[in-house]
Amino acid sequence: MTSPGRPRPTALLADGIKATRAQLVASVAAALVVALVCLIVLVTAGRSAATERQVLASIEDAGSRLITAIDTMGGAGIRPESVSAVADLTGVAWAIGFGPASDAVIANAGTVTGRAPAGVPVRTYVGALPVDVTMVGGRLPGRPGEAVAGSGAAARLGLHDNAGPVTTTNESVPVVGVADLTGALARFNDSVIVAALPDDAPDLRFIYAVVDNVGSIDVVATQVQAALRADQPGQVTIETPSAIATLRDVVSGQLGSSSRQLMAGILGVGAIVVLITMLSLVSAKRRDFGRRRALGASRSAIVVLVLTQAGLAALAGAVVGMIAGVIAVRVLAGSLPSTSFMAGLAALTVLAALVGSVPPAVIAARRDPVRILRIP
Amino acid sequence: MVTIEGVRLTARDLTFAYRRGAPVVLDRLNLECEPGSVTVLTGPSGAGKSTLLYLLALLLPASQGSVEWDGRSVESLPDGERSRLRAAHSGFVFQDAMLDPSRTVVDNVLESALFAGIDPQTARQRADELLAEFGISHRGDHRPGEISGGQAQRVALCRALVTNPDVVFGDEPTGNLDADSARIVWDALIRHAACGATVVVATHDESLAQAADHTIVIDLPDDGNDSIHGDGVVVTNGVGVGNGAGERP
Repeated sequence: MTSPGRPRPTALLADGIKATRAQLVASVAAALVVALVCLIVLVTAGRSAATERQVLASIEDAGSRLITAIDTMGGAGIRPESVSAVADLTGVAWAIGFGPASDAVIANAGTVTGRAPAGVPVRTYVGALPVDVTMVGGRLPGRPGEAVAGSGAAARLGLHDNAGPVTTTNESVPVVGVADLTGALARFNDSVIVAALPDDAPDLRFIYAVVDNVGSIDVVATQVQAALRADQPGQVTIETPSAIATLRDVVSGQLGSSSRQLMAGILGVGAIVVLITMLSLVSAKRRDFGRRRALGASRSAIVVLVLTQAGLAALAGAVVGMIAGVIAVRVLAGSLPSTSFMAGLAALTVLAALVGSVPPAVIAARRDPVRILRIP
Repeated sequence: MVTIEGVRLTARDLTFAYRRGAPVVLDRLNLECEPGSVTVLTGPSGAGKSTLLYLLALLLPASQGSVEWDGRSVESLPDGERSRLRAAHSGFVFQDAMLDPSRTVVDNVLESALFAGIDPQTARQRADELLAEFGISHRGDHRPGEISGGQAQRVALCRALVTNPDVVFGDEPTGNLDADSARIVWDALIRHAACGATVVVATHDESLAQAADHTIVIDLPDDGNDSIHGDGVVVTNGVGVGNGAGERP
């Protein structure tokens, strides 16, 4: 039988698993500590992170990512191709442009019954409507020249079938659907908007651009200004919700900072408790470590065995703690922190347990086997 | 019968004290243990039998002098290399079995094979053979707390032999056993030596000394200091100084 004198890594791992099961009390104690750390971090820092996430989401929903280019005087001559130029900018998620409002729009007398025709503005748009627009009825325009009415405009026009022709002073426009225009398009909910014809798009009065990341809004706003194709660029006003972006940064920074400090503190305490638990395990098993050293276990093998046992216990504890923590946060806060937060927490907790187990492992490995063997 | 190469153990001017300034336990000892032989270290308590055993087994570093395994000085090797040599070539039988109470008998036997890096299936097969040979195969799944002291020592013997080691060290391996159990252990060590292994045992048991190939008596000096006695220290079964002989210049 040939003996290389070095344990096989797989055999060492298998022995670590056996030790974890054989020394159940110590393993469960270490696992419980890790589970408690996960649970406490989740119901404190995790809950705070979930709240932060909610606050930031509501800030962003309020339009903090929206850049608006406005031709306030109506003489800037913003050409339609400006929309695609803005949409192609890095960091821009979506862009759309609107032309000037036409004269009063009168509902087709044939579709209105029992009430006097009412006028609503109609505007041509260039670009794509957002995919998440909420349809009340009908559909979005599928070809140039088709129109969609905001729900406010539909009510004023009496479009009970959510579709039908409307007429301006010089043309008839087919409305193919009614939508609740919200968010960036909220100001057009009382309008009928018409998909522009490719060769007949008017100069634009508004361009709306939504950025991917609110943190980059000032940079992108500068790029939007440069990307505009206009006869009089100086007459175009760029509006950004800088104050909301600043508020978002402040909220994010303060909540994030306090969460991180809390989490670091709890992880540190957890690592110390794991250290004490593993120290007591190592102390209780000192004869085993001494015997194993006498039988040929190297110091590194002893370290690996102790860390394997601690790591397995920590993994089990992290799973249990995360499940319990997620349930607790869901009940307490009504929402959860991000997946990356939870994955990071689980990894950090196991890492903290391993770091806390290094000193006991080294102590176990450096004990004099003869001294241990000679004490009955 | 399995053929084992054995290891020639040599001590040259071996001197040891547990710490600087402490009384010298062993003083310039020279000895040689041949493969295929059983060498018994005997003498009164505190004379240094176990210390000499631990020095030969590379568990203690010498204060002066050297320990050689097959002519290679292993005294100054780093700890990792000494561990590797122990794992690959030696087995150890302790006085009180020293089993892990949380593991089964089979897992205890396989412990040596783990650190030797032996294929787990091969080791398990050898473990089963040894447990059967010593009449405790039916105890394989039991915990040490569920078997007798004699059975526990047989398990410890299986653990020492599971790697077919070239050298076996025993520190009072029969000290806590009744005569029948002691005979089983002793016969196993003699059989292992007959296969070619080097067997070194520290013991108080005079009857074991009688059955050994070589006996080294370590005596307390007259002045009360723990060291090898100067006169008549070495007895090689009355034949004179030879293999397994130790002497003091």
